[in-house]
Amino acid sequence: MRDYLLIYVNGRRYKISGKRGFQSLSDFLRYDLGMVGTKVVCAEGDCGSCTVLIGRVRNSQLLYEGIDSCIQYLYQLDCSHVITVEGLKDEAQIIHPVQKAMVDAAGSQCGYCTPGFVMALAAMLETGETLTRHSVQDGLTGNLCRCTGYEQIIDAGLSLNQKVIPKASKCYDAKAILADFMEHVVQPVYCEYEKKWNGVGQQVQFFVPAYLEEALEFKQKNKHVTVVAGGTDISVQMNKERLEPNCIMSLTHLTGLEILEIENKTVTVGAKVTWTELGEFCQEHLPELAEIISIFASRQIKNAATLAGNIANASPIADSLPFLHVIDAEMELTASHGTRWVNINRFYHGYKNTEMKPDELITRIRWNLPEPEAVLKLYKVSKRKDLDISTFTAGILLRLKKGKIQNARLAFGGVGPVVLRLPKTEEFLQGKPMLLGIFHEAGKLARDEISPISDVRASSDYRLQLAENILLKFFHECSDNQNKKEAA
Amino acid sequence: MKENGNQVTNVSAASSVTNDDLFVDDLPPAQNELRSDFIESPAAQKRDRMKVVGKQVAHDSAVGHVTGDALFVDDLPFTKNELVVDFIGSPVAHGEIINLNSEELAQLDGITGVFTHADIPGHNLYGPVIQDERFLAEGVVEYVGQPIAIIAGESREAIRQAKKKLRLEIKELVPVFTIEEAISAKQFIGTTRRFKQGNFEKAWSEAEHT
Repeated sequence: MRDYLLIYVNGRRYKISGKRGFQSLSDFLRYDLGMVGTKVVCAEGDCGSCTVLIGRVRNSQLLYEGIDSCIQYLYQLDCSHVITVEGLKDEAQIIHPVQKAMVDAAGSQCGYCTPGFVMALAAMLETGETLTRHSVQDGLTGNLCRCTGYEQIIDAGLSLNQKVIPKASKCYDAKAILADFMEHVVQPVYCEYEKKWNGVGQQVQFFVPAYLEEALEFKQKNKHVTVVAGGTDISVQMNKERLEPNCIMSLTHLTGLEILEIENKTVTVGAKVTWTELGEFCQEHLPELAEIISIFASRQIKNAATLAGNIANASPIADSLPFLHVIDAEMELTASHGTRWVNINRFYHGYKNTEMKPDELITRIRWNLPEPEAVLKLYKVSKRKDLDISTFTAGILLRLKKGKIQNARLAFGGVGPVVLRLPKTEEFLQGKPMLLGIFHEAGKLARDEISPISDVRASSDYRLQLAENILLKFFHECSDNQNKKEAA
Repeated sequence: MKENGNQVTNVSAASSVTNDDLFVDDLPPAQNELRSDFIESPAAQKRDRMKVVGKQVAHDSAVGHVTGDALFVDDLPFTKNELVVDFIGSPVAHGEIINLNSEELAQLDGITGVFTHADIPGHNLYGPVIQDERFLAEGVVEYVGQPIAIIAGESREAIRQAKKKLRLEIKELVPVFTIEEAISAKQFIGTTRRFKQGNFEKAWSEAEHT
């Protein structure tokens, strides 16, 4: 058992123990190391000013990706190599080509968001993707600028020639760092300290297990533990002072949960699989879900956040849930005494109340791919197209035979305390022909099966109308496709 | 217009003018007032003015921005004995402040002081042109987050903890959200001001669109 975290920053090795491990990476950089080039603006992973590169052990290699350092706490980052904006300059203090491109393209004005943009561009070079206008825009969706304007920044990105420019990570001895990490990832880390204030002491602890058995044992002993994988919601709650967990377990080293495979049309996704990984996987196997993944979060978020986190967080507007509900996904819940599979349609009992027992962890999620003759459509309605919290979500899965609906599954989010299946509407649709009038009627029925509230995102009336209209939208999209097929 | 365009207004001359209806541009030129202009030949003038046209000139802070070396206020190192200051804001859009446990908060670990409007020695007003906004709320609050008190402490953590012990009693009043509500409640911002020049009544009565 180690009592310190091992983190490299710009090639320098740091052992972090005690209280210091309980802070966000951005606080550690700015206040402990005095590296103030990394800026914090929103502190909730929306603006990207705090973007840094992070190299983590993946398949026995260091994989470098951009993340928001404000919502990554140090206990999530054991055995990672952080590269900050200060770490892009070479030994002769010559600025990196990405930095020069931003200067030359006039990509900064007030300069506060600039280090984040520089790091987001540097992250694109790490993945080696072709830099087109579309990919540069996509790579910068997680960075907000309020004064320069995005054109100059996109120009800076387009001016980069990845064939010539060295990756930022290549400036460091990755081999030596990796060797150091490989020695340490097999050791669990435990840190604690006593938070004392105004005469009242409180024990605060975190645990980073090396193996699943250790994790399950810890969860059994500490039933109130807050489990963190990507932490993109929990860390926000902590930054905004809505949550102050005193016992945390980070899944960082549980490589067994990184499984992502398809076998006999069954997709299995480990609890540590990030949205970036799942998104790439879905491009080929589930384009409809890939589309939702592409708009629901920035790269920085998707590089950290997980599907399992989206499920466990139990928000009624979690973007993956309508899909999982109509596809009849199952979650593997694991405790030290055993494992059970639970269908997602029986997982949520009420608002933020799930079937999970205190000693259980979500370890895997699986579902069968829709049959070729099935039609799957997913919808996300939000005020902005990209990166917004949904107002309303929907998943519709129909099995058709000779123009008739054999079977219908509908799941709507944002219309109740949990994502709702619509059994009456589903039953109504069964056996009916694909006609506009049928979907009109189905829309009216759908209204009666949901109970949306009015909140900051939308009124109850608006959500009811969306629930009705989404069925018409679905019908028209299907007829469009049908017409195209016939024309072809 | 052309004459005015090149004119540098002498501010001390302006201070002797008390007509409220005048804008800076309307002020009469002061005696012997200097006019800014180029003194080179017209050709040199043109050359100098044009030398940057069409060229991308790097922002003089650009290198600092892209490297993170440019220091912003929040980036400066802490000085010895530096205090962290925060506001206690209103939780409601409109309300009457009944009580705040500021004295109790001030006694907590790491808290140096809690100050309300009553602690401000001078006046409590500020504003860019007309000083009619209260710095700290007095008696009533009129928007969510309106600063009611300042809290100073030795660390962010101390303030974070102290805020949990905050007991703020507020009697909620009906908030005013729309123009219609403001008109019926006769709640207006400041006093009505009119700017008139020349024969206003005549121009107004003859105007095609009013």
